[in-house]
Amino acid sequence: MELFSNLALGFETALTLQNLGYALIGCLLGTLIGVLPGIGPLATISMLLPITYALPPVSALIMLAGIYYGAQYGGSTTAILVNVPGEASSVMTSLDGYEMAKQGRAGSALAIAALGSLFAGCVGTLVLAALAGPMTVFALKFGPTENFALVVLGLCGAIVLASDSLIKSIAMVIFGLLLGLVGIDVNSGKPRFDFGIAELADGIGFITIALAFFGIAEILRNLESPEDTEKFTSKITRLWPTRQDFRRATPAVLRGTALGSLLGVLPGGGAALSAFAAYMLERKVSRYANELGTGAVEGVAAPESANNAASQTSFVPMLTLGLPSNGVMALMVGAMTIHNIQPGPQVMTSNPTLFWGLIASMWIGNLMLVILNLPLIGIWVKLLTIPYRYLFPAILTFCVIGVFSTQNNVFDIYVVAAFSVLAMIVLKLGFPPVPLLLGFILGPMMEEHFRTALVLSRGDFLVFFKHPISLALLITAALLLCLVLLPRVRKGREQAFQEDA
Amino acid sequence: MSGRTSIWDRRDLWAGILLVAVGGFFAYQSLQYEFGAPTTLGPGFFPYWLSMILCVLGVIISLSSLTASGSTAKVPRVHWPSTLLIIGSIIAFGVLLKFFGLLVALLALVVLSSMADPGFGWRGTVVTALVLMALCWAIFVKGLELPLPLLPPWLEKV
Repeated sequence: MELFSNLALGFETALTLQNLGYALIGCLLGTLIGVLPGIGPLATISMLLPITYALPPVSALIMLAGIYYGAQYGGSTTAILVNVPGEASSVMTSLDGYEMAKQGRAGSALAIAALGSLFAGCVGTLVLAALAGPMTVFALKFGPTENFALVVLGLCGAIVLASDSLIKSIAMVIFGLLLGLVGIDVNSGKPRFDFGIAELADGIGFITIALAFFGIAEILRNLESPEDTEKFTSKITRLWPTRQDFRRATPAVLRGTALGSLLGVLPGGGAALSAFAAYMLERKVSRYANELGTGAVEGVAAPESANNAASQTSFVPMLTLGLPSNGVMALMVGAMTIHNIQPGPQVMTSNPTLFWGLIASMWIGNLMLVILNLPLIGIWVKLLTIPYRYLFPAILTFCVIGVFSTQNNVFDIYVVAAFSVLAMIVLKLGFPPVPLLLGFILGPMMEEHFRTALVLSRGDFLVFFKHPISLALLITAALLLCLVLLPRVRKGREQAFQEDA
Repeated sequence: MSGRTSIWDRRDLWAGILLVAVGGFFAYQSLQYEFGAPTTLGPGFFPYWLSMILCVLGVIISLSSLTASGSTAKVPRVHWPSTLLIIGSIIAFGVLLKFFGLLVALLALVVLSSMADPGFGWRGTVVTALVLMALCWAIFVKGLELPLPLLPPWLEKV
């Protein structure tokens, strides 16, 4: 079967010593930042992007992906042990996980979380591998008209599922699209919005935007709210779960994995949303639903499997359509473009080693995480005691050096400073940052498709409604937006809204 | 209820105003680029209409903040000392890197930014700075061989 030969190629790539090493670095770093509150995968990946210039593209993506799913593991460790969810995706885990820890069942909770995540990660990766082929074949038939509609749908989906205020999210997408247009216009060769500054004619680097909005702005926000000092660490007595825990966790893991795999593929879906949805599902269907919140093992198993499954399957739209569904995927698209790989359906055929190598590395990475993390838990928890005042200068240092090294130009450092101020104002006024990043990444692509479609249709603006696939995509986008306005959905969304990584 | 609070305290009023300002700015700038014909759109067309949508959204957000059902969130306060110190430390790093090299720039970055934390103390800050200098030297200069000037350029020439 073709899938197997492809996967064999993938493992061949992922199992080289170099790539194993980068997967390990990614997983370790991911766990580290997952443990530390105040720094998430978005900030970390944007800090490391400049460094990946020097690496081969496969190694770079393997490492960055490792950070993303490694963070899910790390986040759950602290959620269970100290009731500090390191990431948004492990907020649900802390509800029952910390209760279990208080009852002296911390080891059991950690092991269930890790094994559930491993299972879900493997299934999620399998779904990714299986869906990639057919999706790519489908997407390769798309012309510029369909691609434009697809970007619109992707952006709408990301807005609907992943943030709080609909109209503010749309505004941020458009702001991002506009910022993405700064620089030379590819069609006419004219620089736009450069104000005569040579550096701006090359466009704004997306690393500068990402660092300002997710690195620096995050530091500013953390400095305003005083540190949470209460850090009670519970002892881990036995690591292996009891038979009863296993029996009760298994169906929850299966449900969480299924739900997470599904939600991850959707635009705007991702780890945090899936964990939330999985916990809600347990409340509805679990036989032990009444125990949830008091240390039920289902409450750890389901969201942990869901967030890990989703973080694997959210690679599907990114790898097959070139469409990032959340902030981390937007950065992955950026990572590919800095290596001159145009994300989209052609990646699978033009860069098969990269494509399948990345997928195979996810299995290896998930396995590494379980083997590494269970024995190392003590060390990770110790890291929590590092005060933030020593951490944020380090984060700042990596930010400024990273951005300088992209072009060896001090100008970019000033751009980061300027955008940090803008980011602070925008966040203070209640705008979500992720839609801006998505718009920024997709802006040039969107304009390009729009203009090409018009050229091909001889200037007919209605062409987007005349092609059946494009029409269907646009109708879906419109339906998604209308759905949010329904009062019931609106209420649920307000409850659920969380910035996804 | 809302008799006491001025409408100028409404967060979303300013959120809308910001969007109109940004949209207006980009729209105005777009006017100097060609719009082109439908078959061959010029560089001005796409940004102009995006900016216009942004302005409309801004007006909607502003106006709806003034209605009874609008969000009553207030304009949040900015914590100026920490903000200025962090932004200042970034700019200082940029300026110093060019003229004095990485080590001096790092020291300024760490000291200035650490002052933004209420628990600031000299000893911890100096140790942080030294550790970060060593790390950066090991990772970026030696490990990744990035072309970062470690010492002031005028010192290295001597």
